[in-house]
Amino acid sequence: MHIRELAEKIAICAYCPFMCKDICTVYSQTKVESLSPSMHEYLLWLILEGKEKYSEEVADILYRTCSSCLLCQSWCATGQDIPEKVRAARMDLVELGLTPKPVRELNEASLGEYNPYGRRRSERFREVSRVIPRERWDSGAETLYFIGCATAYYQPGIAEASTSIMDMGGVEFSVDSGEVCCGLPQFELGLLDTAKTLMEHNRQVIKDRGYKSIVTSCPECYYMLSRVYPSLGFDLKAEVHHISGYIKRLMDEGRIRFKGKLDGTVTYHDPCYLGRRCRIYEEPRLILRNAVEKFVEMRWNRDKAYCGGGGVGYSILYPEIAVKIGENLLREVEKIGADEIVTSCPTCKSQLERSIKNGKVKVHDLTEIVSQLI
Amino acid sequence: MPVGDESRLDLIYNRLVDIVGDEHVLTGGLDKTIYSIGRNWLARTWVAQGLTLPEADFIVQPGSEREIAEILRLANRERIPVIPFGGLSSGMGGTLPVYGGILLDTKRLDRVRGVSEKSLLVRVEAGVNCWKLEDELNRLGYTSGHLPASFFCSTIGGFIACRGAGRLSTKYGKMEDMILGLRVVLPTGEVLETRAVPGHATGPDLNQLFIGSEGALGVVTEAVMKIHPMPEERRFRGVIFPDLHSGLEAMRKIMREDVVPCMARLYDEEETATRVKDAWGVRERGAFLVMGFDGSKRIVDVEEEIALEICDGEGGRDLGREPGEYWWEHKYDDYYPTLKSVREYKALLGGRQAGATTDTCATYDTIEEIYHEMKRVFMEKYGEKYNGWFYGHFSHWYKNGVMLYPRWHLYDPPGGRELTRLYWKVWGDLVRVALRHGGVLNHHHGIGRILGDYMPEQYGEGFEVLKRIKRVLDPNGIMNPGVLGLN
Repeated sequence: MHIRELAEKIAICAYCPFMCKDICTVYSQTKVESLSPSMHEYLLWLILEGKEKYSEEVADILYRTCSSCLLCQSWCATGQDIPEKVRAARMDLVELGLTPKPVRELNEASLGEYNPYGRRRSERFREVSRVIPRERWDSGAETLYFIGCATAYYQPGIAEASTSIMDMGGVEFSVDSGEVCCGLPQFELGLLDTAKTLMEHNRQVIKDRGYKSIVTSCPECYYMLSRVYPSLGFDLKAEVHHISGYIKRLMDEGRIRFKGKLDGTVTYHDPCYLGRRCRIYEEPRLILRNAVEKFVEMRWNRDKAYCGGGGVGYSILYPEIAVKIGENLLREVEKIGADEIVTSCPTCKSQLERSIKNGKVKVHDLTEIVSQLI
Repeated sequence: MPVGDESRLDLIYNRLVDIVGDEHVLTGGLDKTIYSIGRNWLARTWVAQGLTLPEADFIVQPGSEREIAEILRLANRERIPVIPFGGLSSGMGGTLPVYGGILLDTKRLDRVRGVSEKSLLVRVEAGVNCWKLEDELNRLGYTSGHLPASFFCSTIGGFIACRGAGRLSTKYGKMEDMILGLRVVLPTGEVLETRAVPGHATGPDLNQLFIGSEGALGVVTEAVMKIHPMPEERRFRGVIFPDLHSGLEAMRKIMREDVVPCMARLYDEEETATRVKDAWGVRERGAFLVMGFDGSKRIVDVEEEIALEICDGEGGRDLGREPGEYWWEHKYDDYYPTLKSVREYKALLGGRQAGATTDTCATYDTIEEIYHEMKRVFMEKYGEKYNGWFYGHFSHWYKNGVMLYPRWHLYDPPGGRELTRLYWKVWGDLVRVALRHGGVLNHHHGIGRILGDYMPEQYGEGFEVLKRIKRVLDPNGIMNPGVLGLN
């Protein structure tokens, strides 16, 4: 069992007096005790002790219970990484053939269509090919703009904005018709073999084309390519950048300049994988402060920022819970009097758009703001 | 009062689904088990021993007071037990569904409905988490003054049900002091609302009937609570006394002077030498007092000066601000298990060891005697035989008395059924010490299903009054049967 390697860490959460319970993104919206971090970890502890067995019911809890946002760790005095433990349990469930049906469907889609949504592979670039100039495709440049599934299928505007910024900054870059899903949703859902298949595919593409540098506007792709690939032995031999840091660099080098500022009161949402996983908090803020007339912080920001609910397949598997999580974040935006929320993640943007009900708050990606101003 | 056969269960299930929607009726076996486990010693020990836990027939998550009223009418008609449920933080088994029935999870009633800055009040639904409430108030520059150890997981309704206390209760009061008004769904489905006023002379205070009733008399759905402006200054001080007695005398005199610390925790010599030393690095021998003062700076200056003078008069040595400030900054850290402490938790909550907190409250005339006798009884009868320790602190102060928070632990108790038998015996012996000297069964956790049998000993004829009230309000005995000794 994969969880055996984490037994002591699981015990720490299993015997914790619920210190992160109402912090937990999923629990605080569902309010179901079996979905609280401490109780699902206790369930794992009982499995380790032989007092409970993996089952479909356990699987249902362990998939529903965690959006992998890592907010729990930011409040934990001992810094527990609960998503790591949940991922280990999910790997056990995959090996035992006990995954819930939506997870099996996501797995099949990932292997068949190379994306987690079940959308056709042939449609991956249909939208973005209309907004990224033909000459940028497979151009032979050493810098790759890695589009990612969420941008390709649902947020082509982010790809348009990102490539236009790179273009304005005088960056020679390519987009690659061979890219596939980075593998993060599959990795977090315990589908390690599938994730590795996708990783190997991308590694081969990056190696064959000789890319020296990769830029992506998706924090999940960024985390996966920069952190998980090397840790699992998939050496890309290329620098990996998130677009926010890349924009900051272009600004510092004077290669792009803002022509004005946007009106309105704007706040910033830290995407979980850019913030808590990769600790990139300041670059997006530095850019935004230059880009907007009035910038306000949410009460809980940076490592304690609320999750938007969209990440790593959670919104695919549990869309109703994901919408509630997004609504919770949007209530925060209204409380601080912001009328626009900027994030730096295609999945967050899509989820917040799905969660908006009254249309009072507008959602943007950082790249879309920047591209308007240069 | 078991619910009955499967066809009847199915009928009731369908009625519950009609009321709250199917996504809010949980019937999974693991859900039922987990709602019963919580973190209380008894349930976890039963799990470790392989015993079957008592389980609810349904876990229902109503989203409104109206839905709760409908559920109670259904339950009353069908004679089904209803167990009101908050954040699962009870250590006293107050929500263990020993007779099955409907476990009524109130956490979807989670709105802070309004703040009156002029009258310093907040109207809050029962399922609101304590931390969430405090966070909402802090944004506006206010505090509830209620910062319990279970801050991050407990609900306001749960605290009302258990007459709960927080770390700052010496100044800001316990739940019974914080509530001005309540809305309660009665067992027969009617909704009672008390008038939220600071005082009245129009008969008994009905709020106090429901505060501490542990779900036996109805379901609290909403409360009007006092709030306080965030203090301009909050300052802490550590003092070491030669012994517990001198610390107790100092604190008694401080309270007598009308100096009201926002918090004061006086640890006995054993806890000072162990937990206080390990957690906060205080290495002095004796009894450690950490106290805090908050409010306007001028008042804090005066209170601190008087308090330190009194401490000095009782032999207390001022350790400065650092120990107290450290305590405040790290007041929750102690609860997070570490790789080291989790070994103890595994033994304590894994059926191999026993331990609990037998907190009580009494007047200054007797509290010291209670402490010493509890300690003597525990050590003579159990501690020496089963390798145990006993220590305590005093942390909720009144002008007339104080709460004692004794903790005990047995490292080498017998196993199996003897373990739970021993657990009950220790509880019984220790609470009887408190009762003999005019103390109470509990000060701030409620008594749940662990201490109900001792209620007649505390209340005397008053317990008959409680039973009659229960019979009138809950004629079919559906509300959380078994708690408070009310069956």
